[in-house]
Amino acid sequence: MMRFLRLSSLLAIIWLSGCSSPYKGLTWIEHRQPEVGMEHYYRYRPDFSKELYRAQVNGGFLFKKYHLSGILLFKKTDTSRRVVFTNEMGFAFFDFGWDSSDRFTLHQIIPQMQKRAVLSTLRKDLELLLGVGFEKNKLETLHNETAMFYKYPYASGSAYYIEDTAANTTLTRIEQGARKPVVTIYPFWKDAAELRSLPDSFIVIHHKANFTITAKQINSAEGE
Amino acid sequence: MRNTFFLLGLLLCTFVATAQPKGFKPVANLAQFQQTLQKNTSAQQSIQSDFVQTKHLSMLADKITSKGKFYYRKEDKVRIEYTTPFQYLVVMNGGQMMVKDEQKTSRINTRGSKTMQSVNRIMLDCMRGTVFSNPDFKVTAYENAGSYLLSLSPANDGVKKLFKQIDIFLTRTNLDVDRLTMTEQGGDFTDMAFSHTQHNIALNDALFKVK
Repeated sequence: MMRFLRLSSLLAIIWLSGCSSPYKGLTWIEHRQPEVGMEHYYRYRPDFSKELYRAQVNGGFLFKKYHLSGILLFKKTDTSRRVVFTNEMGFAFFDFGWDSSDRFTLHQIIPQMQKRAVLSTLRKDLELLLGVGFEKNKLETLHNETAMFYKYPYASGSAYYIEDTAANTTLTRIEQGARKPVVTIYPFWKDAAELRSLPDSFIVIHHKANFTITAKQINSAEGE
Repeated sequence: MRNTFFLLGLLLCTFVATAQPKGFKPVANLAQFQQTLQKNTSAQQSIQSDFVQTKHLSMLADKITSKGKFYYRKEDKVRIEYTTPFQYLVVMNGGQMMVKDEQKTSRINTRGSKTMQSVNRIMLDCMRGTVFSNPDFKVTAYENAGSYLLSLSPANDGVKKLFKQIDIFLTRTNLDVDRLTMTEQGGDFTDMAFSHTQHNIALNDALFKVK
């Protein structure tokens, strides 16, 4: 009986520690100060006109694995931001747009990807990268010993823009989730001075869905 | 028909009938043209060419450009190799296809898919000069002083889902394909321009290996 209780207690402890949130121990610094929210809001809405990436999507569902590769185009105009993913031969997998008020429009998607879960996942990943869909006055700022966490309400949880305080406020990752991150984006810049632009490369990891996106900037071959 | 091929991969589109292209008129003597085309093409043992591919995004008023090399060897071997600004390779050999990007190599048996067989067949029909007899496309031929234009519209349901139209531009002098344009339903199109074409050179078996 005693052995059973000890084992049950041990299992309960292990289970509970696995359920704990990584955001639980963070210290709350400020709450909804408009000027801080405004500064941060613009800091992580990348400023760009056009960027091209070589991208691969890898995933698996049950026993089936899938792999897509192609070119990811980010373009910003006066009135909108667009993201188009095409295969290497020019066929578009999807074409997403957001207007100046961050309203989303699906311009095009292939039938194989036109499933609510796929569309929602891809849209959220890109919105996190583009800093789209957040309310400026809803920012909360938290920190721990090594990082600052800028938190916005997003989807069914929150989006966290996490800066490494030891690395001079470099954005080290973006997370989205409720108690735990469902998705983590790791952006990389070769030059820290370019932090306001889109990253030189990025990785998107979905922790529950077994699905990753890797992307690296390239230059169009025009003029070569 | 020389140096003719089709882009592989998934394509969205439905069939739309085409009006007469600007600057072109229907070929005056179609039967003679078909004969000449087939005669010229059947004499080709191999083709090697450079290409520049430009994807035009109509709504964004923007384009994406890439470059590479194209190889064909009679009867059924094709290699499309992208070199700039990314590496990507497609090899077709008989009914087998290999696709290779920086991360992964995939091998596909086209015989398992009617649509893939259609794509495979039209590419090889263009190489062999037998495109007019392909049941999956309606082919209309036009001409002007310097070129011929073959306008291909899908005729079967499977291919209709892939293409709106494919236009193949041939030089009048030697029937070399110097441009290929593939149009999607939404107005986007992909253009491939060919240059430095060489005919009947020795092409190594290794170029067309799919295993």
